[in-house]
Amino acid sequence: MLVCITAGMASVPLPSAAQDNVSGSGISEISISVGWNIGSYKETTYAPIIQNISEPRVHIGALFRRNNFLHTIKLDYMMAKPGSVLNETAVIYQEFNPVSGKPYYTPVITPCYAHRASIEYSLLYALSTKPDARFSIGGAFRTDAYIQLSNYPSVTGIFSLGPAFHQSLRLSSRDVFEFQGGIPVIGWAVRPSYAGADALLMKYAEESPLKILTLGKLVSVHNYQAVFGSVDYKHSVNDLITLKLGSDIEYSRMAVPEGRPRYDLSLNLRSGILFAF
Amino acid sequence: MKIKHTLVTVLLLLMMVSLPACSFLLGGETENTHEALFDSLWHDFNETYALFSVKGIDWNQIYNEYRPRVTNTMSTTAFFAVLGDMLSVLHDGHVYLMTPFDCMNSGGSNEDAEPFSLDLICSSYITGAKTAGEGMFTYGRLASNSRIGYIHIKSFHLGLTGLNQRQDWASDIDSVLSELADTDQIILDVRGNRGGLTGNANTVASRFTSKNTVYAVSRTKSGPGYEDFGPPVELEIKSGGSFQYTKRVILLTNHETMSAGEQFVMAMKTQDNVIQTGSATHGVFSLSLQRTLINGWKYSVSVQRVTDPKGICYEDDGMIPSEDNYCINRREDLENGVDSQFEKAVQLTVVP
Repeated sequence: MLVCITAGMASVPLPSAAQDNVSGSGISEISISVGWNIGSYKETTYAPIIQNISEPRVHIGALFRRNNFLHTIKLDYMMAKPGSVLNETAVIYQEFNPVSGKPYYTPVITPCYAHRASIEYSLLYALSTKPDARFSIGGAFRTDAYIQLSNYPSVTGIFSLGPAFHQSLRLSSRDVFEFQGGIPVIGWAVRPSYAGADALLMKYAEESPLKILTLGKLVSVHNYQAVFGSVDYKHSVNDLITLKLGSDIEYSRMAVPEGRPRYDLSLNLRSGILFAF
Repeated sequence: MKIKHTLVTVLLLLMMVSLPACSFLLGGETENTHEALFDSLWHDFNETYALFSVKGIDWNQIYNEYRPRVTNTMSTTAFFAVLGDMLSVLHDGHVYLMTPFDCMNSGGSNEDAEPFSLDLICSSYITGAKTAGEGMFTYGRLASNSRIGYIHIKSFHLGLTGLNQRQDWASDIDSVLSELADTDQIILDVRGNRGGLTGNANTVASRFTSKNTVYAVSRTKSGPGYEDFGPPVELEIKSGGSFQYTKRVILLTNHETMSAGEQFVMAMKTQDNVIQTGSATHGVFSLSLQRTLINGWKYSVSVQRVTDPKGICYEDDGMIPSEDNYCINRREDLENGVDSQFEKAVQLTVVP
């Protein structure tokens, strides 16, 4: 659940009621959000254990509309310490002192940190330009990176393409509902190996981490299913500032390597301020 | 305003419904009972452990032998003991089980470690002992002959693991070798070196490399079948650093030389100027990955099969010195201030 404060700028000073009515002129909007995320995932490559995330999340969004074309860009980042027995259980381990040659016991709590970052660009065309209900469809390119640092790191990177839509519904002169979503249908995914790590990964990590990208494979709906969407209720305080209450929802399931699926879900609630000029 | 209220209601309902939906969408978890935990551990080894055929172990037979010993009503300590007994069959130092109250290593307890003391060497055998590489290197010269250098490498591990495969401390071997450049020979001691990162081992080995060589081939499990392995990856040492020490090197090993420490020994033994002495290394070459049971207990699995370029696997056997150079340390000798393995290494510095 993401509760965000959003601040943005638009290049053209427009009456708020006009922002979604104009079809011929350009509108741009940039927003920054800070919020709270609640989600869960299960990285079965290492352990079939559900890990829960409740952490802050930052989001930068941009929207450019010219004529009937709509461009949206979203950048999203979150760092989390997932909650699960993976990093909450203290165990003991018998270590060995290589200087004295003697053993000793030490408590072990395996730290586990998760980073998640995504970049999305959508290019959409307005099929309906009615003032109260503008509907656009097109495509979206997404880059998603999920990194879990524990023992050996689990890195999942996905570059994907798929159809996307944007719908705005005007409720009043100052209130707008916006929906946006997409479904990736094809992509290039870098995942941990079947065993979790392998010699090639370690070799590439030593030579150049960028070479790890070559370890990816083509994925499509048979082994990668995902849905991304957002709902925003936008209230224009004046011509420059807008408050937003929104929710970002995503679900993804990666079944690469075979039989090692990954599930990911987050639900977000956002409120914010938009500046426009 | 009706549509506005409806949409807000839908939004709130969506949020309320989505949270409980998590467990449905994420799939279930293993039941937290002794029997389910046993099955989970056994199955994970069945599908990811890489060395059943090398060790000649019938894992299904192990299941039939140990599974009947587990009940949901048995005590947690008794359950731990059964799991420990089962994993001990593998006799693999890279396989361990850790719980909040006890731990076990399939390769044996460290209480039985082969005796060794770096403090004894520093106090009795060498002079001017210094450390470098964030304490990983201890070095000096023989008290009896300053033309012979000594370097002990405590570990190949430090700092972050994983993507950060090469660390600054390992390249400090350059400054160590610079100080010992005028020596005729070096005793390179990796006793007690339990391994770490292959990248660090390769970095240090590169400073002793006169000919670039593939020293090992590693294959990682890529599927649930016992022989499902990914493509072979060659591990190679290449000359590195500002200069290479290519004079005679006496490489001291013992049973506590493990993992990346053993890969280092494999790499060094490809060089003509290197002689191994001491005792056999531990015999664990695989990458060991830690995993977690649903109750929070942690265990590790060996997921690789590492061989030399000819396909010979040294798992269990370790890297063994030649019969003439084989030597073990006895605890009582060490307690009396005598490191027999070190003294054997000194003998080998005398070129006939």
